Amino acid sequence: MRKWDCLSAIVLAAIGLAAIYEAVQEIGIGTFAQPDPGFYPFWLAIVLVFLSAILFVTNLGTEEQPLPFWGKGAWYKPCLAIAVLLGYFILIAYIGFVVSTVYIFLAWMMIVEKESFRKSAIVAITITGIGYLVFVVLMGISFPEGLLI
Amino acid sequence: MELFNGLMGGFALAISPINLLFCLVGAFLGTAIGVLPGLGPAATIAILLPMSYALGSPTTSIIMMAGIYYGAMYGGSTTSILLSLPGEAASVVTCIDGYQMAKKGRAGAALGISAIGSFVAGTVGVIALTFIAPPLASIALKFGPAEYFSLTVLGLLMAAFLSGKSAIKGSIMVVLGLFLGTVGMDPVQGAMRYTFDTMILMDGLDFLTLAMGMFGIGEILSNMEEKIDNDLVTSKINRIWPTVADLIKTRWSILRGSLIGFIVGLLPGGGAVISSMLAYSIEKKISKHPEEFGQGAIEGVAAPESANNSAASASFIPMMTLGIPGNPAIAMIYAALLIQGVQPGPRIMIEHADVFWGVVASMYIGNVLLLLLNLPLIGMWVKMLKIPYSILAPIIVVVSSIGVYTSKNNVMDIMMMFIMGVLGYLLRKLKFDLGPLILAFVLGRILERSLSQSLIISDGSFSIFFQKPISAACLLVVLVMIVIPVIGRFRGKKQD
Repeated sequence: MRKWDCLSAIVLAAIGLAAIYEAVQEIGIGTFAQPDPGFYPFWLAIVLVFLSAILFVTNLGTEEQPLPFWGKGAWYKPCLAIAVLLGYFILIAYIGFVVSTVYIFLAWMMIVEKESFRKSAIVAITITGIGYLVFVVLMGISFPEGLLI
Repeated sequence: MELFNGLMGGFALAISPINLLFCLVGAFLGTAIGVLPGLGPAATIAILLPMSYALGSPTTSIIMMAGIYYGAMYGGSTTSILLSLPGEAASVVTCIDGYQMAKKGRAGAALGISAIGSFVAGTVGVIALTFIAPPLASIALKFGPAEYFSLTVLGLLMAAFLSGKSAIKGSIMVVLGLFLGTVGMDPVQGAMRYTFDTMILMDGLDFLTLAMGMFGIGEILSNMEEKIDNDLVTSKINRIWPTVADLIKTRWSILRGSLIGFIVGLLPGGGAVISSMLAYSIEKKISKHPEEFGQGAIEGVAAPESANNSAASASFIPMMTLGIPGNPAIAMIYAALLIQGVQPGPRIMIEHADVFWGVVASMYIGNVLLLLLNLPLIGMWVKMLKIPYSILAPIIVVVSSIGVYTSKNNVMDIMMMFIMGVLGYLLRKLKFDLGPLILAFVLGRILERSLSQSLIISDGSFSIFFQKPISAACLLVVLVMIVIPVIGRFRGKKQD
């Protein structure tokens, strides 16, 4: 974990330093008696850089058993899930509620969870139907207009 | 007398059909998500936050959300006992002895004692809440910005120190949460901060989007790495009532658990998870037969299950009276109150007494409902465990997306939720605890406002924080909390 902690510390410190620059240059920090809008984030960013430095220093050195970010084969399902989710969030914006909901159940169950088409299709159609009835018909939620609702 | 009148008024509200219905819905949902592994109360309340808009009444929506929170404490024990798989983080220690009891054919007694302990502790917690909250709120009315600043700093630091394994990582999450809270328009002068000239960031990051993304989507992605196996549900439960001997044996464990849970629940960063672990270790330490712990000791089920319920009730006190939520689930309820235009804090007793007393009264009713829901329906809860996660996960995605979209009717919020979900997943992978981040995000506004006001009042002098006794005491505790681990580390290094 040490390697990843050091890497996290570097990323967090970089965010902190960028925030300090933005607070001083763009927003303005004012004085203790008259703080400007950048005052509070400026001090937060200082603390963030300081804590990141401690995290970095306390994790320096070699590990006896360095842990990988993902265990063997553990990256596969979360990455697949992220890809399926990304597709869903794009679809809901352009195609509408019904198609995107059918898609998420089909894609999730078939691609991520390796379920059969038959089972996935039955679940997808049933839950989309219930969802449409509850959210659109009963609760009257208007979804973004797409090619299909 | 005022207290009695308030409570009676609360009961009158809580027993109205609509509030009673949503109390039942909350208790039912809470038990369900407590039973199901992979979905905690914070995530569920986050997903259901947009329902606050639909429900309209703050009392009704908070009654439901409170029900989800303490209901999850009841439900969490079921999977711990039957499968050694905690349905909820606060029931992790229940696995140790609960599962051993189940293996010896005493699953029913374990489930029964956990429900009875939860009921007793939950009720003790609500009684204490009834009597402690009003006087605490009247003291808090005298608090100025300096007290609020120091109290918030103490709360956040405790959350950072108590939540995960690393205090440094917890503190980083606090600062990151505070920092995310500064994105958008500055509340005093209206200046834009860290918006990169993008429209979506001008209003600031939305709490709903952040909470649903990090807790809802992030949790799903994390669960993808672990196989949640529900096929193990085979335990047959014959008798759900514990014997009289069991009740006598556990009576003090339940009371001790209730007390420990209440005290820990009051602390910021404490809450149900830590209280159950503490109650278990104390019970083991003072037991005449510590060797039985881990082998199916019924006290090892009764004490932690009592503690987590009592802590759940107690954690409403700092949120309602001081306006400082102590754990992520309570932070969600805090956000729900804000959505409804109710500012939690000492003035809630004056401005929204109906909300406060209505929720408190509903908690008395909710505890009885939960006892009725849990024991006779145990077979149904076990059956529910058979719902595969492959179906549950996309349901959570769809409900979260609808929730986040309906709050502002903006599709970009769904995309932002997705980004927050991936960020939450990565932070979890890197062993950063998200609890302190979400708490800090909620408390950021109070911290910034109280800091600015204090400094303007004192003309830039930090002495203001040490002139007020409560503020000075809080900062002294903060100092001790920071200095002691540093000294300990130096000493450890010297000895090496």
